Amino acid sequence: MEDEIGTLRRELERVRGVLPDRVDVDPEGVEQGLAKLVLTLVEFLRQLLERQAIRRMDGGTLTDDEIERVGLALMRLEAKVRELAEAFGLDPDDLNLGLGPIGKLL
Amino acid sequence: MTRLLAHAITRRATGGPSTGLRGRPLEQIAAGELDLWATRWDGEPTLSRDDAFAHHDLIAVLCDAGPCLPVRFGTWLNDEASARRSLEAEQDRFAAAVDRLGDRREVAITLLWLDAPSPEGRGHAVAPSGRAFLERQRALNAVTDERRSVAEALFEGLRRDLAVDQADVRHESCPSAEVALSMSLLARRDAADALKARATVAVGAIEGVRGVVSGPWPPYSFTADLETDGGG
Repeated sequence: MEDEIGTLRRELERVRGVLPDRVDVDPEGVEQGLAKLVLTLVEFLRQLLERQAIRRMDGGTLTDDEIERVGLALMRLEAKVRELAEAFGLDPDDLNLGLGPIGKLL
Repeated sequence: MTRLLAHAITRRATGGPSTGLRGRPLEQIAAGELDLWATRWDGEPTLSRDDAFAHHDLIAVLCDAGPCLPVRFGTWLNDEASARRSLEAEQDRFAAAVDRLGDRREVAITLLWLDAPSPEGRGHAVAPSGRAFLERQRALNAVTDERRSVAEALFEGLRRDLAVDQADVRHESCPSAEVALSMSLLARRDAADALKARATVAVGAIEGVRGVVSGPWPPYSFTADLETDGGG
C-alpha cells in the first residue's frame, strides 16, 4: 500500500501544473475558461492512465492485443484533447491548473 | 457598470497618488489598519497589455512610499463595500503579510534549457501503432523525469549558494519544455540589488542552461496565495 501511495504521490508531483491557473469567470471568457478546466482534467486522467498502461506493458501483464488497443486509445485521446484545445483558442501546452502551495496539477 | 480594479494593499496612509489606470480616479479604501488602492472603472472590464504595465508602475509608486502588498493584475471588486468587507475579513492576515513582505523586494531567476526540444520534437506526431505510442511516451516520460530531477538539483544548489531562507523562496521546476527552473527570492529592499548581483554570478556558472535574472520588483510571487474573493 505504501508503494502505491508513493507511486500516486509521484504521479501527482509529475503531473502537477495541468489545469488552468484559474477559471475566467468573465462572461466573455467563461466558455474558454471552462474548456480549459475540463480539458486539463481529461489530460490529467489520460496521463495517469498512460503511466499505468506503460507500467503494465513493462510488467508483462498486458497481451500484445491489449497493448495495441490501449496505446491507440490513449494516442487518439491525446490528439482529441489537443484538437479541442486549439478549437477553443488554447495552447495545448498550457493546459494546467495551479494547486496553490503544492504547485501545479501537471 | 462601475467596478474597482485592485492594485495594492498598504498600511493606512495619509496620502498618495490620486490617478489610477487610463487616467481614472484612484480610490483609497480604508478598513481597520489597511488601505486598498483601486482604480474606479466605468464600463467594460476589459484590460490590455498596457494596463498591465500601468498596474505595475502604479504598484511601484505605492511600494516606494512604504510597505505594500501588490494585488494580482485583473483582480476586480464589485464596489467599495465589497472591497471593505474583503479587507475587514482578512485584516489580520493582510496586516501580517504587509509587515512581513511589504518592505521586501523580489528577485526572479529563470533557467532555460540550452537543448530544449522543438515543438515538433515533443512527441505529438501520430505514432505508427499503439505499442509504438506507449514506447515513445515511456521514453518521453524518462526524459521529463530526468529533467525534473536535474532542475530540482539546480534549485537546491542555487538556494544553498545564495543562502536564502526556505520561507523566502518559491520555485517551480520544468514549468514548460523550455524552462528548467523558475525561482523567486525575497530580499530586504536595501539588499535586493546585491542579491540580484550574486544570483547573476551564480546562474552564469551553471552549465547546460541560460540564466535570466530579473527584478527587483514588488513581491508578486509571494502574495498570490493571499488573494481573496472580493465579489467581482
